Amino acid sequence: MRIKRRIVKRGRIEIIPLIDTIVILLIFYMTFSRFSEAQREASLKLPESRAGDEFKKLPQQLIVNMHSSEHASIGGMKYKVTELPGVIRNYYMNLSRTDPSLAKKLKDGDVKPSIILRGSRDMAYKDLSDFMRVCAKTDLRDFLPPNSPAGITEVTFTAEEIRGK
Amino acid sequence: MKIKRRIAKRGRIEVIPLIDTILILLIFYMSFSSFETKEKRIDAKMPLISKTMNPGTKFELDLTLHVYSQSNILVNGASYDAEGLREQMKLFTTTPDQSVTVIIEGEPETKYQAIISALDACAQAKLTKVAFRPLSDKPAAGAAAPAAPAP
Repeated sequence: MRIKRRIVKRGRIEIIPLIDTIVILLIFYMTFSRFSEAQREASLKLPESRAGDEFKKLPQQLIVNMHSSEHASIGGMKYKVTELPGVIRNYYMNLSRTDPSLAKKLKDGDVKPSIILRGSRDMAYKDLSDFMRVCAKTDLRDFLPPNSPAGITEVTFTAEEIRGK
Repeated sequence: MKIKRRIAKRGRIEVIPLIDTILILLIFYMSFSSFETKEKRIDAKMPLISKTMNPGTKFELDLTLHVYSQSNILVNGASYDAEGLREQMKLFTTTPDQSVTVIIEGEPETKYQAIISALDACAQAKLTKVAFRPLSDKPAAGAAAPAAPAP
């Protein structure tokens, strides 16, 4: 008796749904990588300004998102402003371990430690004053050239561009 | 002779690909609309005046901006709104060595938006030496304010 050979169905990749899926994934990752990369908090309502340069984060800069003295966040972690000196010190300590070339630049004084403040437009001057005081208190002299003053002397403020006139 | 009637094919809208397309467009516009507002940076090189600062630091020409609100910013005893302040600040950029140091101070409840508006006016007038006076470092009432030139 002759046995019939079973026809094996070949699997086919459908191109059009594949393209759809790839595009959706691409949009998803493009969108969310921008927030995570820059440590920016999307819910923060920034103040508005006309002047200013394009937002750019340098490697030695730390982004602080701030709603008030009681609610600041760095890299998604919530802190009080009074806790920031320790957090900032840890950041530069980790940076000096993970990026020796940047650590050398800091030590040689080629770059300065700097903070990018993303403050809520409804925050009060009292909160800003507390933040400035914390910047002045933060002792980073271990990572800086000898005889450097304690404290962070460079702060970058961010704002939304005013559209229209 | 009987002529056969041609059967016209009716165009149909496929619902499932339509839903796919709408969904993709929706995600696309939702994602990119949030980036439409550009984020800007305003640098302040010397952001704090306090006791921690080197006592030898000398300011050649101080100009103090006292910010109460966005529509009430005091410069040399005169009140300006954010727009007026910008024009006023431009007068100070004409000094030959551009050595004006602007000190920004505020009331405890002054909104951050108003502070940034003052900083914005300085940045537009190309005055880049800006410092902030924290609340408790403010001179006591009646104390002489730093001298500021007449515009």
